[in-house]
Amino acid sequence: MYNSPVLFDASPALTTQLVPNAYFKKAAIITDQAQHSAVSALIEKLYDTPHDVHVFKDAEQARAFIVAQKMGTHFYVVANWDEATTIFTTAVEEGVSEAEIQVQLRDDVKKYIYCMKCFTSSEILKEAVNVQCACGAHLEVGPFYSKVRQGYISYPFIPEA
Amino acid sequence: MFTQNLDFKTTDLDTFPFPFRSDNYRYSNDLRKLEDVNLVTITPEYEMQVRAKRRLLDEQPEVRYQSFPHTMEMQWEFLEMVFEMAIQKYPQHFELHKDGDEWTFKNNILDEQQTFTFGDASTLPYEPYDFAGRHFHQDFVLMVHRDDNYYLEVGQVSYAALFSAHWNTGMSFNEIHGPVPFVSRNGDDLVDRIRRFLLGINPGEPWTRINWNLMADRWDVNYETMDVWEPQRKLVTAENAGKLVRLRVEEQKFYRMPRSNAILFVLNTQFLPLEDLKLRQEWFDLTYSVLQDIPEPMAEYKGIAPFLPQSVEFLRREDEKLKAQGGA
Repeated sequence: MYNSPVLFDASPALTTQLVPNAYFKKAAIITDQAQHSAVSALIEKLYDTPHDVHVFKDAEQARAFIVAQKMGTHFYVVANWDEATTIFTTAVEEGVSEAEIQVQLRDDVKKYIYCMKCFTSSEILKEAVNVQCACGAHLEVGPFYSKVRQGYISYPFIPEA
Repeated sequence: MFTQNLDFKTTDLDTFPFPFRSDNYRYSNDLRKLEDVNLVTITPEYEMQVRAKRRLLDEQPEVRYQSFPHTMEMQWEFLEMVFEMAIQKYPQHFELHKDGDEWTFKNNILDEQQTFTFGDASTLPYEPYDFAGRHFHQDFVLMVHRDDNYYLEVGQVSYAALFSAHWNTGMSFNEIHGPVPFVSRNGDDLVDRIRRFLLGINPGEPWTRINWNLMADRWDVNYETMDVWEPQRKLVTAENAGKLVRLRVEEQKFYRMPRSNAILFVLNTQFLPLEDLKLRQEWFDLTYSVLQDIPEPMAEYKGIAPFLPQSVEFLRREDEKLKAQGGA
């Protein structure tokens, strides 16, 4: 669905430290690096809460793991941005809500801008204020994000000579 | 090539929806029940406005018209509603002949006729919503009711005021109004109050409100052309503001669609140059008073901050002239 949650730099699902959610009876951990310290730290904090760990290989295997989970499962993702995005999108497609997912990145978050001139989305530095699109347009980075356009709004301007 | 030629202004002042009722203005939930539920209006500028609207739609189709594929049934509901309203109110201007699903719509003002199969979009030159909307001068935005909110799923917008059908498509009512410093005199979050109000609108009982802005020598301002119109705003002076700056009034109407349960936003935009305000002394006085009292965040949001002082100065000079004439 076009208004389904998407993973972006200000997603509520993003966290710097995974925290066990006591309202859920089971934990499903999906990671692209099984030995990552964030995974072992989480498992330690889960105590006797049942949990399964899935090591991410591709979207279809992740999908099968997500679909196999029962109601009352909370999802924890530890992965690089690209893999985390794939896992998050797959989970949402299978009916998992944003409140049921936490994502801890192993690398940096990526930020995207939507060019209002050529209608394409492209990656920008997180702290960028003004950027130039590949189409040549000079863009001021705005504060509003579109799930449909998958990027922050841009305000075209003509730079002073 | 996208063109803007603002050669349009309201000439019939009796139909101009003048927005101010008091000498200062703040955002408020000023919705009231619509007396004439028929959204179709033929003004002296109808033909000019419709032709300009079509030109903009043709020049920037992706900017000015957006829809999701799943909206087709809602689009036919819209087409049927506006065509029925048109023939009911103006049988001399519009005709609709039905032979089962074979319909023929005639627009006698534009001397146009289209035969199509109701429910079969392939029999129309545009999507049903786009086709029907091109016969009327208003903007039309269809917000679909889901999860206690409204989502923009079809939009035909040719009179944007810091709005873009392309950018805003798929957004909720709250997301669309995210940039608005919407606080009432009581400090309430007006966006959410209005959203909740819209949830209670019933089919057959549309509501209305008036929004206003100032426009500097432009038909509309959208995000896509910001690099063009943003510098133009700085060309306004107290000397040319009377001609270049127009009071832009947006008469908004809200209809609950009976079959889809969506809310149709109908936006009738009219312009009056500041120099024409003198044709109605009360309008001149109220506008002059309101514009002197606009809070900075509101001026910034409305995009009028770069030329508001010049506009007020123009009105001040005119006011002095009027007083001098009155005292002479």
